[in-house]
Amino acid sequence: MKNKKIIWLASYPKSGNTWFRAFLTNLYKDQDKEFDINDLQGGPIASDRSTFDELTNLDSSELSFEEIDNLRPEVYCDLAKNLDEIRFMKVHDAYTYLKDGSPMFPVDATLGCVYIMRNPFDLALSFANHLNASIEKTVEYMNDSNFAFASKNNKFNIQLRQFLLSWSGHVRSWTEQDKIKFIVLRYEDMKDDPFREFSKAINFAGLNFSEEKIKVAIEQAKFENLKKQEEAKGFREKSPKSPSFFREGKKGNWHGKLSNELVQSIIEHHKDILIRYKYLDENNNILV
Amino acid sequence: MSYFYNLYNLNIKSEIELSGINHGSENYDVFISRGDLPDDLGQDSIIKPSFSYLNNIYLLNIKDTIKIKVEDGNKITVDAKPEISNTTIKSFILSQGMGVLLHQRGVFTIHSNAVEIDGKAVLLCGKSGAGKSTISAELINRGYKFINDDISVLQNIDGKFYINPGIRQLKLWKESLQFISHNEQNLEQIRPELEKFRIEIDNLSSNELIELNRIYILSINELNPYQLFKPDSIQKLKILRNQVYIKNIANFVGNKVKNFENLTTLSKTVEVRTISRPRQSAPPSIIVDMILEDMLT
Repeated sequence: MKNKKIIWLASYPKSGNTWFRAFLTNLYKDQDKEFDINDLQGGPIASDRSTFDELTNLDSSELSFEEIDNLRPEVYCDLAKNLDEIRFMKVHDAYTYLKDGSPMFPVDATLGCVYIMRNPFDLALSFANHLNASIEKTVEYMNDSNFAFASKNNKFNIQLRQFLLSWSGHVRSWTEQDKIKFIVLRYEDMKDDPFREFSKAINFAGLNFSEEKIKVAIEQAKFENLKKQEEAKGFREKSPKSPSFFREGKKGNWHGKLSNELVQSIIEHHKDILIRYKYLDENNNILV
Repeated sequence: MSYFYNLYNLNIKSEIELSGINHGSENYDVFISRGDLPDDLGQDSIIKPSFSYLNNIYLLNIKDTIKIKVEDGNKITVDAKPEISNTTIKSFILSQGMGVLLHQRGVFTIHSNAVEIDGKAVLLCGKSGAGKSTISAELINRGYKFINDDISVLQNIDGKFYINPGIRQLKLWKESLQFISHNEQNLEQIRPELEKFRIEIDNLSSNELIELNRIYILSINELNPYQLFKPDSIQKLKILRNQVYIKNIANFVGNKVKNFENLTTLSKTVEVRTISRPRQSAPPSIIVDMILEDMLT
């Protein structure tokens, strides 16, 4: 119990994870200190290679993918053992299992998971910008149950391999497992009522912050501030391939920008999860 | 069958072939053999992800691949299944195996490539992926001599540091092979699972000690790329401490006091620079131009 100190901030990419981390950063910082998007809580990401190398004392660029996967749970346990307090950790990996059936994200190191999700229609546009890929190609990736980041073995990758699975596969992996407790936040609800949604996450984590502090942190972390900072000084977590990280920050932005073919493809591949999380009704009407 | 090598001025007798390493005397200092090994050194040992340590014995355990025991600075035992390739075994022996052994012997090591520029050694340090090897490749392309890859052994002789040449093969990813002229026959894939290769380099420095001139620490910085910075002496010591080979293991395997003394002397006597580059598509020529221009100062 005493080593269960990590709260995974899990999400498919471009679902609002960074926004939540910006909120956390403002929550934790002193009121009179400036907030910096290049120094966010919740980092580095769980698949950060140099953290792995530091804790294993190995050069992971000379290990196979499987050898790295086998070591990742031990790394997180070692990290958690040396924490004085709860630590949020961003992760884009799906909740996956090693060959021996044990989870990549170990129970012994985990306090819980805040799972952040976003409707795949808006997500497709944002993800395409991030990947600097066509929307068609991006939807293909989102539909692919074998999709992974950093999976090429002929070059150096700054991160470790991460299996994302498909968009709905990713959602299922974190929300249908029974090993660690979790809470689900929808990006769209965060936009509608950030105080209610962010407070849910703070309560889930067992943290104690006043309503006033939460409201101030939400205001400081609003999208316009993040975008302004990126324009002024850059954002080191932005993909080198894309022109900007903070694009529009809206919900329902997909209307008129996704072809009917792509919309139907998304529905076909992810229908159960779309309905479960109220992005689609039983008559195939999209609710965002 | 036994093979005899010389590496870091140590004579090695090995039951495992380590191609590309210089031949050595049968009067050996270090013995490498095969044997059965446990998963760890027991509950009294320090147990960390990937290894355990107890009483000057280090045991690496990469599950389903290899275990390596390093004892007292003179013995390496390897436990690997028959299906594990020799190149894989060689990779682990030359990195973790020799790295820990050198620390156990009190040898001062820096994680770096080394290249000879104007008759003196220049170290290229940095985390994995920072660009040490591609920068080395570009320097070799420009006619500079290659001293060693990965582990640089430093000898402190009357307050001056000298490099004792180590592994003479350069490792590059397939994607980076374009940066160096090479013969396909001189490539050795380091692991079957990875398209990363060891390359025999023709233009090598001599095997003698080479005086150390300068240390460059490479890093990725997306927001401030192509910046060259000259740290002050306090910053230098902090920066150099992070460049010790497998530094966290060095803290309890090696001679901490002697290491610290060497680092302090190094920070006072050798010029150090940090250089940043962007994450993607950074032609090594830009960084090499920055290094060569700085060397003139």
